[in-house]
Amino acid sequence: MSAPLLSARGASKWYGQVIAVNDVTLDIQPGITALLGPNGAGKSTLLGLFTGQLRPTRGLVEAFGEPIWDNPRLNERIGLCHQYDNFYEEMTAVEFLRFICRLTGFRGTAARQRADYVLDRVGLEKCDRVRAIRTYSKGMRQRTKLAQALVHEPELLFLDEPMTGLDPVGRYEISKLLEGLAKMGKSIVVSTHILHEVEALTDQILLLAEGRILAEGDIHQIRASLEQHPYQIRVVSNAARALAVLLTADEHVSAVKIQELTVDREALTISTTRADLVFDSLPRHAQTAGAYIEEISCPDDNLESVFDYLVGQ
Amino acid sequence: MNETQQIGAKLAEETPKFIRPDPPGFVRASVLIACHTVQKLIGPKRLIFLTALLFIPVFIVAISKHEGQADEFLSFFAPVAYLLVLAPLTSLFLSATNFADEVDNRTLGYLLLRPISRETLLFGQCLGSGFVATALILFSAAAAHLVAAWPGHITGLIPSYWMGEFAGFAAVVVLSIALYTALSSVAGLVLKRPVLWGIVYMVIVEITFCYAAGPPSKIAISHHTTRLLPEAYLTPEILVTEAANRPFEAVPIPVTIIGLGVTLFLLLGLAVVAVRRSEFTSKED
Repeated sequence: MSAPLLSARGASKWYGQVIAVNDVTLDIQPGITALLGPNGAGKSTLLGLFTGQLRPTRGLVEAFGEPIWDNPRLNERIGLCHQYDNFYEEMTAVEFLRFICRLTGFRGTAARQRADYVLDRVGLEKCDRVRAIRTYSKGMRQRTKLAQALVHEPELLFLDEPMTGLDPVGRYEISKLLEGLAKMGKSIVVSTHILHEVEALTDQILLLAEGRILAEGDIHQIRASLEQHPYQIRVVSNAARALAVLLTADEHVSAVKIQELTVDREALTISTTRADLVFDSLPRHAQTAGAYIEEISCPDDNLESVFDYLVGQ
Repeated sequence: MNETQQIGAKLAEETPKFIRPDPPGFVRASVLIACHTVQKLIGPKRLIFLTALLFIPVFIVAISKHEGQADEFLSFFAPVAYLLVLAPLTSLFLSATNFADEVDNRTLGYLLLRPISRETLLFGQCLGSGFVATALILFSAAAAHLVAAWPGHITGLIPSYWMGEFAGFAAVVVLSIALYTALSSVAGLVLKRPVLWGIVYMVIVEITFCYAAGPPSKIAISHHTTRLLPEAYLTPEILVTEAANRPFEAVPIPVTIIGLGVTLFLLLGLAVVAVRRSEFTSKED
């Protein structure tokens, strides 16, 4: 495993008596990582700590091996697209981006070219760039926000709810852009509540609730580690009842539910703590019962079910 | 090379080669932030309010036809209007909420996430707001002097006379604004309602103690800055009686200048400490 780009060691953040982030210890590896959690879980505070905008009350947060608080040189390597929709409203996107480019170190023509290139990259139309930002739609604002985060080609990019306000085409384009950035070797931390988009982007997740990290790592590994939470396996077959009889005899199967789909097709929902043994025994049982298995799926082997289960604990 | 690496390499080829520029130096970044601050402050609401405020002394001079003498205008009205009231007030309105406005508008993040230090940001904002305050006050003061010297207005204030003195007056105004801008920045960074507290400070300290006798007057910045004014502004017949105890000669002028310089340095130092410690969380967070 490569060295972490970002690490937190016992990081906590208090606002008076309220604890927003509680004793978080984690490492973020290169690639795309999704930061998930319900509202008020502490996602934005954690991003604030990661980007050096907030100082940990206790503990340490480091990026690229250096403490991030009060270290502006690290901002050359970090980009943040925050969740708020605020801008200098009277500026146009081009003016705003040129100003950001100049603050990053670009001068004159280079600043103009860089601003145009980044706005092209996020797909903001040329005719829209010269209008005041106050006239922009939510999607155009989102693109402008993303553009300012990409101006300096950061190695580590933080995106707080990047898909908010985008139409389906916009979401697709931004997803592709993020995938492209990840493939180019950028590391991205995405904070979002839109689970299916995260699933499409990455398997690496950080689940956060009440300021604590509930789970960290690959979604399938996390799911597999929840032994006390039974797996649901759905099997569609022409002889589901015969299969159910054989399955209920197995020790590792805790429950079987039958649902009629059509006259000759039924669905079995098998609850088990050992999905691997069920997958092993299914072909054998199907042969014994003379059943034809049309479809096997795991409805809860996805992010949403893991999220609901962990956050509900 | 696996498929992902191949796609990555292709994308890297299609993307123009990026050479990360060196971050801007302190001076360049400060000027960029100062220009941005000026642009932000020249918004309609604040500017209309300040222009109206700065028109008041010009208006007072315009309506006081034949009623005043040159000495009275130069030694009383101009210092009181500009050094005691308008310089601190304008600096307060323009500087105290620099960071607070950015925090409330949630735009400060765009600036803090650049490779420039917080001190640079602070200095740039002070420079920008100080520039706007200086331009507005000097414009108003020049207009007031011009109206006062208009034939038929204030007796004895001939243009060739006041123009020479005005340069010195302007220099003291610039120094005052620098001091009040630094003070307002500290207030803006450490207090919850900096404008309100600033007005309270201005009334209790700057106006009350400016012409007061004895040690308490030393805490007012205006007490020291008025002493630096050119001679024409220091012939206060009107003040002779009430300020009979005022020890004009007590401290030599160079010492006053050094003292004010040290005060400015200390105020900026305090502002730097405050800006480095602050996390700038919005009220809504």
